[in-house]
Order: sequence, then structure tokens, then C-alpha cells
Amino acid sequence: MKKILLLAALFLTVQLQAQITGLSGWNIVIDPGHSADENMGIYNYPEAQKSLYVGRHLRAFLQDSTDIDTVYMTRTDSIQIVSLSQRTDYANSLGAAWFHSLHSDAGGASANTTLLLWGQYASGAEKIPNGGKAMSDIMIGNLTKGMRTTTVRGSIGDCSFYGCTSGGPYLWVNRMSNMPSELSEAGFHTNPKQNQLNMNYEWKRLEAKTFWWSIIKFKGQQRPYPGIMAGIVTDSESGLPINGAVVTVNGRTYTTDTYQSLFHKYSTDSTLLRNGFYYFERVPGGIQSISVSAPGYDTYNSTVAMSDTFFTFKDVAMVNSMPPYVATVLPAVGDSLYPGINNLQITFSRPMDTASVNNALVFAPTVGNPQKSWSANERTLVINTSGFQFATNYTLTILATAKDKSNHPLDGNGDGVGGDPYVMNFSTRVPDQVPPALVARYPQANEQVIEKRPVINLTFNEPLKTSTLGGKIFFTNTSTGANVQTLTKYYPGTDFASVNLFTREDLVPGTQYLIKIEPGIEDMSGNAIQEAIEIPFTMGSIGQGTTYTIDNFDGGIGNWWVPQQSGSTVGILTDTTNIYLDGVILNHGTGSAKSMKLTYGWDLLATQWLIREYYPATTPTFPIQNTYLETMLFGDGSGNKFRFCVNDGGPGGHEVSEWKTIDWYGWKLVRWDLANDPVGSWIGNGVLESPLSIDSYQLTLTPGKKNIGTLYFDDLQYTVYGPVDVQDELSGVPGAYGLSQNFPNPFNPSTVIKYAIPVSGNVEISVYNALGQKVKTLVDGFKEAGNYQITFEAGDLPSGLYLYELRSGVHYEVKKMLLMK
Amino acid sequence: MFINPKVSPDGKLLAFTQEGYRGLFIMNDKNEITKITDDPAAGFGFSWLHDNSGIVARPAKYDGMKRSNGAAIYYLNGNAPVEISEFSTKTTTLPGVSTGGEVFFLQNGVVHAYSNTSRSSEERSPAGVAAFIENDKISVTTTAGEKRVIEPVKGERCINAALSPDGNKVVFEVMGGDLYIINSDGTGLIDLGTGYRGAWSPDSKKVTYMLTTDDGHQLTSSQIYTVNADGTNKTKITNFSHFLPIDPSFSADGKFIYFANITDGSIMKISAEAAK
Repeated sequence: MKKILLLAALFLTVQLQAQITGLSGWNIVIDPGHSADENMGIYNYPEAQKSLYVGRHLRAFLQDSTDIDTVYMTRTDSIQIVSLSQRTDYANSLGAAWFHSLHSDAGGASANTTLLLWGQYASGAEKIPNGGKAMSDIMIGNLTKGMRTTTVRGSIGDCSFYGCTSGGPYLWVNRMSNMPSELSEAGFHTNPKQNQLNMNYEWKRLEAKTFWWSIIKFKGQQRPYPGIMAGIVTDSESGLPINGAVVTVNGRTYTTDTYQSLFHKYSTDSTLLRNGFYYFERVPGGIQSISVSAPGYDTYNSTVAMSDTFFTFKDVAMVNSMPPYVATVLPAVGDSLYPGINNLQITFSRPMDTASVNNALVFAPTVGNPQKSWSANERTLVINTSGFQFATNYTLTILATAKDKSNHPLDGNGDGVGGDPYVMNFSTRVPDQVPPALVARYPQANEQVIEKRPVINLTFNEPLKTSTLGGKIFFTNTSTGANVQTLTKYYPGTDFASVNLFTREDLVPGTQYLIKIEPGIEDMSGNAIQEAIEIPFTMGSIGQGTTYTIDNFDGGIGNWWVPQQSGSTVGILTDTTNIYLDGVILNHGTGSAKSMKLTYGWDLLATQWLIREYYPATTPTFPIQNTYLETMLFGDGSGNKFRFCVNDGGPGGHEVSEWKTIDWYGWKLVRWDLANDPVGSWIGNGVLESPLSIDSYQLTLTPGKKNIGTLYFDDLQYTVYGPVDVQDELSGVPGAYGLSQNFPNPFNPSTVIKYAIPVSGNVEISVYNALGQKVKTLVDGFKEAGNYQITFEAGDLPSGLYLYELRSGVHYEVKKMLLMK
Repeated sequence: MFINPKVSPDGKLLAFTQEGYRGLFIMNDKNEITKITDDPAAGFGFSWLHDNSGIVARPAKYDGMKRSNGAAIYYLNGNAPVEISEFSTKTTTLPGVSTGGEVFFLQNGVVHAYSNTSRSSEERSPAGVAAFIENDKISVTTTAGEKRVIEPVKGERCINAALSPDGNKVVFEVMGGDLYIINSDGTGLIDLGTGYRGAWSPDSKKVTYMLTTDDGHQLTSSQIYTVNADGTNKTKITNFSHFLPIDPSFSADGKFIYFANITDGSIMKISAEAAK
């Protein structure tokens, strides 16, 4: 029997160390993407470092375990700054047979997909020489399983992925390498879980193994027995990975990373980082025993069947042996609450046996049997305070009979030993006797509004009793006394409440209107507004503008990057910063179906704060003259700031509006008068220069204001009031009349028409439809001799052929243009 | 998209390639373009023959996924290309043309000179001076027929070496580092700072190069510069905001610089004077 075991062990050893043939006469360039500490991931671990170590592992696997001729690396350390041209020049000058570029991706905190991008021309055909697609098709499966993510974008041609319209391939390494090539994106370094795993040395071996196995398969060779067991050790209740857990497999041990061993390189917070990852190579096949121990946890013992074909993943959820304790309470100990408005909230250190806790609550003085509810995986208890008395001191005792789900008795005094009660004192406040106050409004009293259907915003400083709102707010035409048709929505918040009136009819230019709030609206304690509030305003008479939608979000938010994707975004708490599609908080003024919700968290330890919520599309473009860039913004009253950013044709390529403080709650139209409002300061030259298109919404923290909040955006658009006519940059007096062919043509929805006037005089340019009916007058007035251009906005016209006509003095000229929507 | 323009010694023809360095194209002074080969990799690191009759390059051949490289001459008179070396999976050095006008290539690590007249090669250094990258170092063969190996920055890998027309200097890059000029006897190292793809003026007095930035996926900016052979008078030649110029090379009279604009795939030329 011993002999058989010995032979089996010898066979296995030979099998594990056997060199794989079939790669002779072949070589590869491994390209660890980026350089030094570029593309910093969450928690200060950069993509560049991860890709370097994955590359080193892959090189070692190929050199040590196969008969490959040579493995080259474009970057060999964390100091070199290797440009894109050097990466491909190095491979091309060597005449290498293959190019593999290693990367990871950036995005929101929850995104973590895998992707292989092979070289592709805009025609859809694979790059010549072929091969990158076939390799990518193999790699994507192994990489996705190895990274343990079920979300996969796939093996995709880079032109299809990025949307090339001509030429290609899109990626430099695919376009400029003269051999088959591909680029891997192994998860997201902006994903907290992924990037804490990326820090681990052996995790990068795991990624490299997936490429090694893929190359072996691509070369038609048999993959060796893997012999790798790996997994993540976590706390069974919180799901958090455990640092310093000791895993024993087949007589060898592996200790999961700790602050002392690894994480101190990336954080000064000794409790922040954890991955719980363990990894064993050369594990024999069959059934293996595994044992895991960690301070404060019961020892775990089990067996694992080794996979013959892939990694053997075995995650271990450890049971905490520590007794439960009260982690947080609201109100804080010694603090107070409003009975019936503020509830009592107790959060335990772990999920509790709810019945034992409910039966262990003792109030002095007694409060009867208050309503209780549990949340957060039965860790948080909320007690309704409706039956509590005002201005009373209470003591709450949670008896030691309260237990967690593993029957550990409560550790009430937090000394680490269970079996003692928890005691807290709090008081209830005197009744609120101050009525609600209106703290922000749109429009302001006597303001002149210019939008046809304004959204009225009335922001109060506390939640309101909705039953008292009916018949208290009026919106009337002052001259006729008629009520304006509106849809009223009430939005309660924690510290604020908003009433929005969505106007349902066009207001009349030059007319006075009145918003009136009658007395009687009450706060939650029944305090009523005592005096009427009147907000008179005027509908401006500058003209009825034409509004063009940029994005109304009804089609989703796929066109927007998550905030972390932009390298300009700084100073955020990435876990709490993200964008979502929302179907509840909507601009009812336009019948919107969806909006974009943006949650943000600012890192108060940072010194700079900016969210660049980027919109990568560069169309539509919009004019400057007589144009307002607008969005509906549901404010959170935080006092933080918002601004627009546009792409422009001047130095720096970007300009911003001035910061606007978000001091309102609920919906409000935010606008930038492009021709007249000041330009803010960012990376442009402070001057708007055509062509303009939207770049981003931008947000920043106002120091001292709330660092957590939620905003909603809807109906990003621009509105043009009248035609736009500007003198062309080409100065000088032309020698003859001229009417240029519009550009672009066909167009949608705007196009530019240039014209030349050699003699000062009256000029008329009009647009006619195919039936000869005049549909627009673009210019009608005196013009000095010169070159001009005018932007024709046709968003309100149907597709079709149109004629435009220039008349000046005796000169008459007409041309055709095609509107295609 | 066209890239890597290089003008013929007599200035009458312009050779260039396309993305992936596949094939070679020739444009004459009437702007007529002819494709002289579609061979893979022929467009990377090619050199004009001094008599303007053709181009020496290192095309690739594929047997399945196995790649072999070898030296070949592509003639402009319609004659078939001539393979002047064996094709091997281990050929990692680019062929070239020495200052004496002879084609050279490496086979099994040995320098060979090829006579375009006799159409034969032999194991020896080419006439004049030649320089090439071998095992990450710069090799120079001298007029005396000696081979000198230069390691300008110890432990660092050299790429993109180009010998000046007078044979006295080599411009090259260090992987992950700067652009340098060094005398072909291994002395007088000059650090030019960041720069890529250096190319000499016909009179050996200037080098033109590109200075790029990238985001790891695409170039984000690029401009073309010139600098004197002694490292002085660094001059910005382009100041484009909407173009990405790459692969600069001098015209035969040294007055212009040809480059590829990868924003639209065109080949352009610009005065070699400073940008206005």
C-alpha cells in the first residue's frame, strides 16, 4: 500500500512539474499596461502595479513550464514611464509573434466585469495578422472564472466596443503592433473588493494563470493538472473578509493579509483594508482537508474535492465567538428626541434573535408596548416613540437574556464577556412650537422668468403635515385672476420639505403672476404658518424660445460615465458615489419617465473635491448667442455646489459656468445664459468659443456643509431665443454677395449658413418648405458690409427639403438644404 | 490610415505604410500612390536604398501562429522582391543600409552585407558605418570592419536607434526613459529628455522627434520637435490642437519635415522652422 502511495506521489510530482511542449519557435511580448503608479485604484493601489506583477507571473509560468522561445516584457519595474509608442516599437522591432496587454478597468464602485479587446477595423473585420480574436475568445472564459465574476462584457473587437467610424483598430496597442494582439481588462480597480484582492501577491498569480492556461490551449496543448486551492475567508455575519486568518491545507499554511504584512502600504487606517484571500499551489488531487483559524472565531474544519480542470475555490465563512453588543444608538446616550417624530434606533454588532431582544426591553418610566421593527439583516431595531411623553427622562434596559442568532448572550457593558444588560438614558424634548418657514423659492419675488412652463419651487425648513397642504397654495394670473393649471407634488426630506408646482399651460409673455401660500400649513407637530406669503413674478417678453433636448434620461443613463471613471473626479467616498436610473423622482413638467439619480459622498480628509459627471457624446452642438444651457436639478438643500461644463473650441477645450449653491430642496431649473453669464474657471481660457457641446455636470463640496447627499437630474437641454447671427471671424468687406451651402448638410437639428454682403443695407434670409411656405425668418434688418454666419435651429420642423433665400438690395439667391431627423 | 513616411534620398519619392505596418506604399511627385507590397510588418523599420531603386525591410511570414522574420528588398521597377536572408523565428534585428550604401542584416547573430549589384551576401560588415539594435544594446560596425557594442545606460534597454548620415552619431531611446544621442564610438552621451522616434536631417546636424502623451489606450497629445546634434536649440515645430502628428522625418533637402497625422490618417509636411 505504501509503495502505491509513493508511486502516486511521484507521478503527481512529475505531472505538476512537467514542461509543456508545443510553444517552441514562438514568443510573446507581455505588456503591463500604464506605468509607475498610473491609474490609481481605490485605496491607493494602482492598476500599473497590478498589471506589472501579473505580467511577471505570466512570464515566469511561460519560461519555467513551457518550451517557449522567449518572453519579452515592455515594462519591467515600477519606475519606468513607458509610452505607448515604445510599447509597440519594442515589440515590432523584435519581430515578436504575439502581443498581450494587461489592464484593469475603472468605473463605479459596484462595477466589476471582465473584457478582452482584440484588434478590429471599422469594417468589423479582425486586424491582420489574425489571431487576437481566437485568443481572446479563450481568455475571456478563463479570466472571468478566475476573477470569480459572473458579469462579463466578453471578447469584443475594439472598434465595435469603442464605436470607430473609420480606420481602426481603436486601441494603440492593437493598431500599431505588427503582430496578433489583444488587451485584457481583468475586473475594475475602482471596485473595493476587487482592488483589495489586487493588492495580494498570489491573487495576481491567479490572474496570470488564466492567461497561461489560455495560451496553452490556444497553442493546442493540454492544460496540466491545476493543483490550486484558493478562496476568501469571511465573517459569517458581516460578510467582511478576515485579516490574519490561518488556513492549513495538506500540511501547509497560508495567513491572509494583515495591516502589518501588506495593507500599511496603502492606508494609515489599520482597520480599513481586508481581502481574506488565501492561495495554495501544488495541492495533490482528490479530497483534501482544510482548517481555518482566526482570533475571535470558532475554528473551521472541512474537506474539499480538488478540481482536475480549474482552480478549486473554497470560501470559508467563520462564526464569530464574541458576544453581541450595542454598536450605536439614536438618539445618542444623553441626547433627546421628539416623541412621535424621531424614533429610537438601536444597532447591534451582529444579527440578533429578535424575539429574545423584543422580550428583553424594559423602559422606565414604562411606555406600554411600543411598535418595533427590525432591519439591516436583523441588526437594527427601531422603536416607535408615539406613546412616549414629552419632556421626560427615560432609561432603557436591554436585559442579558437578549441573544444573537448563535445564542451568545448580550454583552451589555462591552467588556467582551456576555451575560450582562445594556442600559441607556435619553430624554424627550418639549413640544415644537415654531411653525415651518419658507427658506428657498423659485421664482424670487418680482423675478422675471422666461421659461414657458416654469416649475415653482417652495422649500420649507422642516417636513409638513400633508393633510394641511390642500387648498393652501395658489398660482394665479394677476391680470385675469384665473388659476394657472399645475400639478402639485410634495417631497418630504429629513431636514427639508419641498412643494413643487409643475405648470401645465404656457404662461403669457409680459404678464404678472402670483404664487400665494395661505396660512394654515402645519409642521409634523401641528404648528401652522400664521401669515400669508405672496410671491409675485412676471413672465418675460424676450420671446418664446425653442428648446432642444440633449438628454432627458428616458432612454437610460448608459450615455453617462459613473463619476469615478473620470480622472478629474477627486475627493469622493467612492462607496457612496454613483449614478442610477430613477423612475420616481421626475420632472412632471415635461411628462418625464426617467431621471438620473446621483448619490455623492465627499471625503472630508481630502483637500480637493470635484465630481465630473461626464457625458462623452459630443453632439448636439449648440450656439452661444441667445442660448441657455439648462437642466432640472432636484436639490438636497446641502449648500454644496453645482455647475455645467461644456466642450468648446478654444484653448483647453472646456469651459464651465460659475458655481451655483444648491440651497433648495426639490426640483428647480438651473440655467446658464451662455452669451451673458460669467464663465467660471477650470481648464479653459474663460471664453466660450464655438462649437459648444455638453461635457459634464460638475459638483463640489462647500467646506462645512453636508458631505453625503442625493441629487436628481432631468431634462438636460438648451433653449434658443430667436435666431443666432454673428459676424464671421473672416473680417473685411467681401467683393460680392454670397450665400454659402449650409454645413452640415443634411443636418439635425442645427446647421450653419454663411453669407457675404459687399454693401451695407437691409438683409433678409428666410427659410421655405418644399411647398413654398415660409417657415422661418433668420435675418431681417440692416447689416454692415461683411461676412456673416447664422445658425439655423430646426428642432421644431419636420424632416424634409427646405430652401433658404437671401435678399439684399437687388440681389437674390436661393439654395437647398435637407433636414433629416 | 497612413503612417511612417520616409522620403527617398533624391527627394522624389515618399514611402509610407499603414496601421499595423502592413505593406509599403510609394507616392511620386505627381501624388500618385502605388502599393509595392502587402507583406506583414514590411512597413516597420524600413530603409531606402541609396540609389533610390528600392527599400530594404523585414517582412514577416506566418505558419499558423508561428512568425518568421527575414530581410527583403522591394524594388520600385516592378521586379519581384528579393529575400536576402533566411526567414527565422529568432530574427530580432532589423536590416538597414550603411553609410557606404550597402544593405546589411543579421543572420544567427552574424552581420551580413548584401551587394545590390551582385545580388549576393557575405559574412562581413557593410561598407562605411552601420548601427542597429541587438540584444537591447546598440551595435556599430565601423569602416574598419569592426563591430562595437555600446551600452549607453547600463542595464537599460535601447530601442529605435538611428545612425546619422555621416556615421558619427546615433540617436536612440531607452525603454521607459529618454531620447539620447551618442557618438558612434560610444562616447559623448547626450540626454535630450523625453522624446520618441528620432530621425536625422540629411546633413547630420539635427534630429527631429515626436513628444507624445497618452492615457494607456490612445495618444492624448503629440507635437514634433527638432534639436541640434549637440543637444542644443530644442525647437517646437508643430503647435497643433486638433492633429496628432507622429513619425517625423526630414525631407531630402532638410527644409521640411514629413509626418503622419493619426487623427485622420493623412501624411503631411511642414517647414522645419519653429512653429509660429
